[in-house]
Amino acid sequence: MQAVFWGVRGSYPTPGPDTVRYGGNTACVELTSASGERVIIDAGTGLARLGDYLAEQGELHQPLDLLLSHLHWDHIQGLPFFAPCHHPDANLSIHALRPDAVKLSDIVRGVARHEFFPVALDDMAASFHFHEVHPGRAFGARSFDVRPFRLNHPFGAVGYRVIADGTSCAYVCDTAPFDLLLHKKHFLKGPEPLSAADRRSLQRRKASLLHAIAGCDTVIYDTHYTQDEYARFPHYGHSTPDHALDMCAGQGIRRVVLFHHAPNHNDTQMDEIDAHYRAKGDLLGLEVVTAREGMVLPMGPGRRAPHMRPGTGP
Amino acid sequence: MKVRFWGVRGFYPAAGASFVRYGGNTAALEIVNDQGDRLAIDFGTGAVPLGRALLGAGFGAGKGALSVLLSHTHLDHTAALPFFVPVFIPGNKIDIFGATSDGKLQGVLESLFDPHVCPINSLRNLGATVSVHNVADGPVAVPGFSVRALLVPHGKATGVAWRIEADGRSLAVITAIDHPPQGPLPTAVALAQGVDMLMQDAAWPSSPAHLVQRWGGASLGYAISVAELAGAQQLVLTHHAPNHSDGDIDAMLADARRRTTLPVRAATEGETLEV
Repeated sequence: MQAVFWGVRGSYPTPGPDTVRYGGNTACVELTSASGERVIIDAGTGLARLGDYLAEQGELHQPLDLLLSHLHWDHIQGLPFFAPCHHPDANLSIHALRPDAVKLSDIVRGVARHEFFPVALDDMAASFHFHEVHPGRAFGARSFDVRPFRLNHPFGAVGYRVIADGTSCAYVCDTAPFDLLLHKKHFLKGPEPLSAADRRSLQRRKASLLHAIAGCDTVIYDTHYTQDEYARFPHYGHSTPDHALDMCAGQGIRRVVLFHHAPNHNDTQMDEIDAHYRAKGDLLGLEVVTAREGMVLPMGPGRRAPHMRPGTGP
Repeated sequence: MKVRFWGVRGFYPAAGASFVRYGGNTAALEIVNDQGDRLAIDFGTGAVPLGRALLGAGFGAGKGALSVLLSHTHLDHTAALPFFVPVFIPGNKIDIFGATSDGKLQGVLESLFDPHVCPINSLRNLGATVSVHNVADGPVAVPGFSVRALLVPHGKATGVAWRIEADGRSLAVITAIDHPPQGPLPTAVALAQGVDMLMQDAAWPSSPAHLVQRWGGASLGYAISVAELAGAQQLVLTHHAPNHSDGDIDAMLADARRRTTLPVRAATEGETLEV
């Protein structure tokens, strides 16, 4: 199995000269098995570029599974521009958490509507199938075994452990740490006091996350904030590299990927973050890699080192 | 009257080394008159850095007022609203003008903040006073400027073309329009009559019919026709397609200059032009 990073940015896309090396597109990761099957995690603007690539390869008709962590704009805004959506033979299975009483298909159609995009989902040529994700209930997508688990993010989000070719990759995004506050469905102006039930809920989420990531070859983690930024915005639903390393150390995990970079982090700051946490990872026995757009990450025994897709980067 | 381009891209942002010169942020313009009155046209991702820049101009202290004219509600013209820092600062006053096919701009902007897609959950959770105004054809009251709106077809959405006058100068911004096959929309030509500067969407330089049909918008040919028929003094091509590299845009510009004697330029992120 290998991962290709098509979008690594959080919140909103950040084009421009200061983000060319790490990338400005929002979240999208492609996982490919040795047999050439693929699942895609999240549909940020990186998905549009993946779609262009699939068009170049003549692979628009290949059935695809799209796992969504949640539906916040930066994880869905690329979907209407994904070339397979406009191909009459394409078959897209969309897996997502249903955070309220509305049908999942209606939620996604309500996002990809004509008021926000030139082509609404209802007018796209492809066939869409919607699958509700239940945290703790495993399912199959192509030949991948997928195990979703609940995260700590406003209005709900799920992480996924994806297993193929005898190796595992976990996608832990978006999530806040599991100590200071519990994200529910209401708007948070700042941290709110935790009830005893909230603390139990946080403990359960943390335990299910630790269970899901244990023994993974690679864990891709929401490390949006630096420690200072997190102290100012603890209620925005994102973590830090320190928290990610705390969670992953001692769990039999080989590699942690820093992902979902804050939009204000330019390439120079990302270099500093990368150097600092690679060194910290060394001390903890973890290989730390900072996600870059275009990065290819082979996983499993005998894997090659991370490298860039031809023609990507500055 | 000065115009600054904060975002010149259409459809979705274009991140990467191939798009650095013309810029990858989606549509956002800042217009300032000689007295310092300010308005913005469109709120694509380019409005995020505009918001940061405005913090030093009173908005950081909650003393800012900004009129925002929307060409339509597609995400490449509205996505920055939840990330525009001045909207979180109490005291700031943001007036948004636009149109939708159902006449309910407030409802559409509210769903931009829906809890499924945005952790802010509602426009009501913003600190600033945000007022939403539906416009019809005709004059729109904006402090410091003479503004006229024209509703135009844009796929299933309704687009608004804008004419802005101040300091004895005039500017037309037409970035969300599906011209009819027989030629430029006559009402759009009339709106742009005699302007000093016309900004027109030219996302599809060679107008491949299937792309124009799928995505809407205009080709270079229409942009030149509108400018020539309206007697515009200058044409600025904008809303660049997200897969067009800097080299592609250079080529489009060279092609445009062969096809018309009017001064033509391609909108470039970060540039400020005197109208």
